[in-house]
Amino acid sequence: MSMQTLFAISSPIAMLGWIALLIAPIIPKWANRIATYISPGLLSLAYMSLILAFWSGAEGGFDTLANVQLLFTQSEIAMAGWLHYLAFDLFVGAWIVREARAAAISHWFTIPILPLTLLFGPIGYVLFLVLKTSLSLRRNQKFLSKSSQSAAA
Amino acid sequence: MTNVVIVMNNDMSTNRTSSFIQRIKIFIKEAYADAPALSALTIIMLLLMVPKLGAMLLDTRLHNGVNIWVKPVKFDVALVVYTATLVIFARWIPQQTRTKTWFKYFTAAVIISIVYEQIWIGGAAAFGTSSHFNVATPLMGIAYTIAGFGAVTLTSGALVFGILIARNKRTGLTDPLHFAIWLSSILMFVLTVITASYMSSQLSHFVGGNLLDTESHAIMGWAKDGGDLRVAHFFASHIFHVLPILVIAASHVFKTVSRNMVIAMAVLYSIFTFYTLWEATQGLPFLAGIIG
Repeated sequence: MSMQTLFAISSPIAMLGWIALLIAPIIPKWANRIATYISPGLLSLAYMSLILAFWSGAEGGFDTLANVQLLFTQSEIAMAGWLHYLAFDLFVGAWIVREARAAAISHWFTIPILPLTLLFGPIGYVLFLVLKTSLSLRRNQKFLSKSSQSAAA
Repeated sequence: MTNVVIVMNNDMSTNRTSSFIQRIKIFIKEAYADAPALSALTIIMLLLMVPKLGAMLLDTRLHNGVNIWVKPVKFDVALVVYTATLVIFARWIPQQTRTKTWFKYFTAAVIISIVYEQIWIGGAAAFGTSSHFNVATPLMGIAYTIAGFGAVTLTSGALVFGILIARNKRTGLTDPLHFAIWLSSILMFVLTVITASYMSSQLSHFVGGNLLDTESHAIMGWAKDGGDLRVAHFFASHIFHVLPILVIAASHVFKTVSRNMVIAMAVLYSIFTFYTLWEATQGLPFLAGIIG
């Protein structure tokens, strides 16, 4: 199998997970199953195959930036790196949806954050943390102001 | 644990017409209750075959002239069949024995040995080198030696299971089948250790031929152009499948199957196994002397 074929197969597997997350309020259980286990699991298995087959023959390493760049000049290792991105970004996306639900944050807030997490993983992650913190601060403030009102009354 | 087993037995007796899938589900549940650790190992090994099959699909490296992942996958299949057999045989060991501490430690030793073989064989393939017979570097030499001890330890699972099943008089099996199961389990250990240790005392499992896996039988991969010591190892290790199946088949043909008939079958099968070993030592391919 060529790396191009593997690349072509892996993208729809990841997209399936992202679409499931976008429509998570409709299919909450399955969105979580697909985006946490099925899609990242499949991508990780493909990653394992690549590492088993190509890691020992790869040039480069993790010690210097130049060596990391050397690693990614090999298409098999770059493909493995790409699978790593796809799998772990999706996993973080699924975590965001779970956290948002647990904190009773409206899904409308997470909808713009999910594509950002897909495209620029860490940016989406940071924005979600900002969102979550600011919403919880606002709730605390409301709660405080309410309690002070009731105390005054 | 006891309650679970009783409930499931009731299910089976009250629901004789249950579908095939249901019966398989009950069978798996019982097997898991009888040997949880070995069951889990079997499932995990099956799952970990997936990335190895993927590597086989992607990797272009050859070993002995064939894809470098053929060997790890063959060992996976063999070890899955072995642990699945132990899982099934575990039900004929008394539960009070299975819950004893020594038995749990013994099972752990078998599992650790199997995991070690997997890592050693898979790791060698990943690094593009040989596992068995590889003493080229001190590290691989030590790894091969440890693998030898590991192989005997994991095979002793059959020996210990055989002895424990032999001592259990209440297996619910017919006498010839009970006899065949414990005898063949013990013979599996004895014959495998003989054939495998002879093989490991050589420098290669090939005797003559082109010393590659290119001229080989389609599925088993045994050499067609020379002797192959893996043949005898294969037959030795499968006696505990063949003998019980032969007894089940014979009990459908004959009215009664005596212990003597089981012994005769075991002797004939062992002779056949040793014949394949002799054949390989003479540099002859499998059954070359009989079917050319």
